[in-house]
Amino acid sequence: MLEAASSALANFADPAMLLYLGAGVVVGLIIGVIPGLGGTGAVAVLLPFVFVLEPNQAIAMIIGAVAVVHTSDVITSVVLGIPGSASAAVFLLDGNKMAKKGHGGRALSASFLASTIGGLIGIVALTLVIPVARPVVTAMGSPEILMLIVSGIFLTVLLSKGNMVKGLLIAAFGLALGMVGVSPVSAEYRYTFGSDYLTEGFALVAVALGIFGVAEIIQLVARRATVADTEMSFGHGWARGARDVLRYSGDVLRGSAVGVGSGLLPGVGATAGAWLAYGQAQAVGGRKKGAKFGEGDPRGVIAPSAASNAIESGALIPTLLFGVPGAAPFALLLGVLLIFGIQPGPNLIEQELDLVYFIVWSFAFAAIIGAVLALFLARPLARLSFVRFPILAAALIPILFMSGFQEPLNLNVFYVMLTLGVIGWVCKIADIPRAPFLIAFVLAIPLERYYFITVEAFEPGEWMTRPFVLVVALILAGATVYSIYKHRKTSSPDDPGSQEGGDSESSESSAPLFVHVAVSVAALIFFSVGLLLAFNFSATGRLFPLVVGIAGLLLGGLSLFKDLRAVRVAGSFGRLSGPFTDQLKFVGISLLWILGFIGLVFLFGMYVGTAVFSLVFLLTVARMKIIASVIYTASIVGTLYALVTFAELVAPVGWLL
Amino acid sequence: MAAHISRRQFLIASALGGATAALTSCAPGQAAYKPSGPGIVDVVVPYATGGGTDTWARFVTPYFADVLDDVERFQVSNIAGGQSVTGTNAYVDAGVNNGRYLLVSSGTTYFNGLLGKGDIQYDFTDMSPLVLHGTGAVMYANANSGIEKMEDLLDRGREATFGGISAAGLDLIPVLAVKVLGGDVNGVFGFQGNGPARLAINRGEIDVGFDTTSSYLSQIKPKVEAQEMHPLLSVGVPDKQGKVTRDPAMPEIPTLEELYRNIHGREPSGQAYEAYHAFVTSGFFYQKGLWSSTGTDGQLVDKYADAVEILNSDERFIEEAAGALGGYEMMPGRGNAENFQRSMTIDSNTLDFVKTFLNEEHGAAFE
Repeated sequence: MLEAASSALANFADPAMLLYLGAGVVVGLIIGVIPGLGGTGAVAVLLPFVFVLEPNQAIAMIIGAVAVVHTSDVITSVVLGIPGSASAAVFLLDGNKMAKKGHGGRALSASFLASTIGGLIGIVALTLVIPVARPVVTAMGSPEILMLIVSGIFLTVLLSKGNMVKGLLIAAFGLALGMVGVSPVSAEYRYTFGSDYLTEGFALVAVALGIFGVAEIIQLVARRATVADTEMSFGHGWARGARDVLRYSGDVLRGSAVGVGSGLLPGVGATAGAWLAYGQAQAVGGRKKGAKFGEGDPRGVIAPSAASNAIESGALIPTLLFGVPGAAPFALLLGVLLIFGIQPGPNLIEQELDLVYFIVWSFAFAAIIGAVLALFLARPLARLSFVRFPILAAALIPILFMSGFQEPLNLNVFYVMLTLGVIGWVCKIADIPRAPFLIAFVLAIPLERYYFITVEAFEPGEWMTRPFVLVVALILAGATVYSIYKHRKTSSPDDPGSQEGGDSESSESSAPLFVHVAVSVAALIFFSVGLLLAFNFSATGRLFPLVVGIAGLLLGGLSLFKDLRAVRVAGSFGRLSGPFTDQLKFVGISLLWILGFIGLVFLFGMYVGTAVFSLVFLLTVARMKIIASVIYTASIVGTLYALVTFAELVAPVGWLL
Repeated sequence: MAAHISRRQFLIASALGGATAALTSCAPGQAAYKPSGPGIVDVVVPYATGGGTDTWARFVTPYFADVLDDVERFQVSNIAGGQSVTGTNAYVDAGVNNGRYLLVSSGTTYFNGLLGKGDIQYDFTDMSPLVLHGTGAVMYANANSGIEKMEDLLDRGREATFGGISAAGLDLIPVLAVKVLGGDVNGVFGFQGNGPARLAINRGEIDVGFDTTSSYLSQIKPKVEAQEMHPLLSVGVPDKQGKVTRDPAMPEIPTLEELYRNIHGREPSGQAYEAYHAFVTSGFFYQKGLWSSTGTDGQLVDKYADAVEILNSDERFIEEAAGALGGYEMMPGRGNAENFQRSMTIDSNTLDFVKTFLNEEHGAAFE
């Protein structure tokens, strides 16, 4: 084993090899920064080169890219509040809050360091596990995966710090949206209304960019403010981030462990893994003194950063040993290996141990090179949070919609993103946490899948008594009892009508009560319709929609009850006046601009639509000088063109062009 | 800024909003055919980038570009959705049959057509296959289940579990095979892919699985040699007369036809077998294909047939393609089209029988 490891290391004595690895890292970092593009995009950029390189060089390049996308993903989440990818949405909670307080540098350096360490821990785990990976992976069965998914859903409760009932309500909404498309067991179409577009379900990237990214944009665009609330003050933030990592080394370790675990198990996924890591950090550290999770706690950045890279290294095991890609970009790596005639499988370990260790080493080098480069990259990018937002939005709006378009390749996705953007904005003003929505959306289908597999393949007495299942069930039960107890204790003396304490995501001016009532009523209507439609599905396809529909109705009813009680206490539904009207006006104007953008793209296609939109927008809203606007617009369109040409992105076509 | 919104501002805003909403109310379709240029053949892959069908198309087409004089290169465009129905519909809709616009199909595309799943606007019986390429597949059992051969599985009945993706896709073949032989198996469906299902069989959660040749040879064969898994059945390959024979990639594994003869002492027949044979033919014997729309000229068919012949005798191609093609030769559409098309014309009684069986026994939903 050691021999194989060291002979694989000798490959890197060749400077050309490091050069290819470095090229992969650079591509991975750049693609990672662009919101909505991740490992799959980076591999697509490199794919044409793969065919002309030696196998080892090509593998080093691909691994270099895959290993670092999650490192640079964090940058836009932290700096702009726009998720770099679905799994990087977790950094909106604390990372973005830190940037708003002017600690963007600190958050980023903590994140890069943690993710490098996470990657390296993942590698060590991988190295140790390879000889015994088979029993490790096979010990975790479908019931265990089901329990992990259930605990992911439970996490939504844990993260629902703002308005708890509405947090659960929006989690049910996430589950319902996740069920659109083909059902996992009966393979029938659910909630597609005969539309071609909906048959594949809503794409995760578009959903995450909509509910977080577009929501952020419509709130900030017309306001002409910057992301950060404070003056430019980086100070010694970068060094502080490094100290944070040292101080919270426990979170680095636990985050990495959660990451490796979720990577090992195909079906859990990078997004759920990152949130699981955040959830455990909060569960462990949230009650300690000085913890301010959700308001800029460095641990909220460190744990998921460590996990995100560890997931990628953990995911190598099922990819190489069982030919089951543990994470999306590895499906492409698998394809590359097959082109070179390398068949992943049990024999790989016995016959090609050198290759396996070569991949492991590539990963380790990439993690380190990536962190160093990301630091250089982040310094200029961190300044973006001090730039007036309209200037950024001229580029962000086209890029967000372009990224969201890539998976479905259907322009209806623009409507989905815009609608979710509005919903996301309502969540912000009504103090409803959006994390539960995303987690529930991601886990809806896996939950249904593994529920049916588990109950079909096992007797109830058999799977419910497995040790891991029992332990997780006990932890979940304990956490539930504890939080109900604590909730009672803290909320009973207060005014029953007030929303539960703790503000999870926003400190925006809170909405008048009628907004809350409207949300509850809308939810009741939504779930009633969903429930009625569910009766048309087949016996297996019906179960989950029914359960979600009923849960949604109950929660909606409870939410409405609480809202109305609050109305009675306050004596009125609240008034449409003051700062809230201002905000409505800002959002209305932003929405019109985005609709204008959509209309231009529908008419003239992506390039011309973007050019016209950006130019007008920069001149009127951002009030830039003409020459600067033209140059800036040209570079936005140039970036889109480069993405299409080199990263295999597809530009939407309009009616006329 | 004033908190008050004047009526005029409100009117302007609504007018603007209304105009934009009207403008954006219908999204332009993206699938319309636009030729990439002279010398370039556009190819529709009805799946996302990176999948099996996409990889096949991207691997194979450059070799054809080398061989065909008037083709500079092939341009693959992925139109995913509706389990390949969206892209196939879009292709057929363009109605181009001059060889500048081709379709790549997969077993699932044919099955959706046969079973009428989704909004099907294509009909493979009057389209022309230019190239066809098949693969074998194997049903196997975990040794811990005590199932060593097909007879054991038949004895076990619904106590034995089969794990797969969905009974409305390629996994209908193994459950149908068991039905043909007069047995029954408890189908556990819902796996994300063949990989996760294979893992569940490795863990012993599931007794029986089904995989294509390349996955079987790399993932399962080593375990068969270690006596941890047992192969039960291979779908075989058709010989020149269309008769099913053992797969040369795994000559030790019997076909369903053989098993039937051994158990029942006569040739297989009946609705279940007819359906099985039709689905295996389109789902495996001719799984992947390069197609041209209705009304394609015979010359184009011949041109590709000659190209297939050249490639199949090219040492360099054979060597480079070994991994990607899984050891099965490409076949020309010429001479194989009839055999394929026969499988696409199962009579409606047989189809109804299969749909009822899959729905009642294995929970697959058909509208």
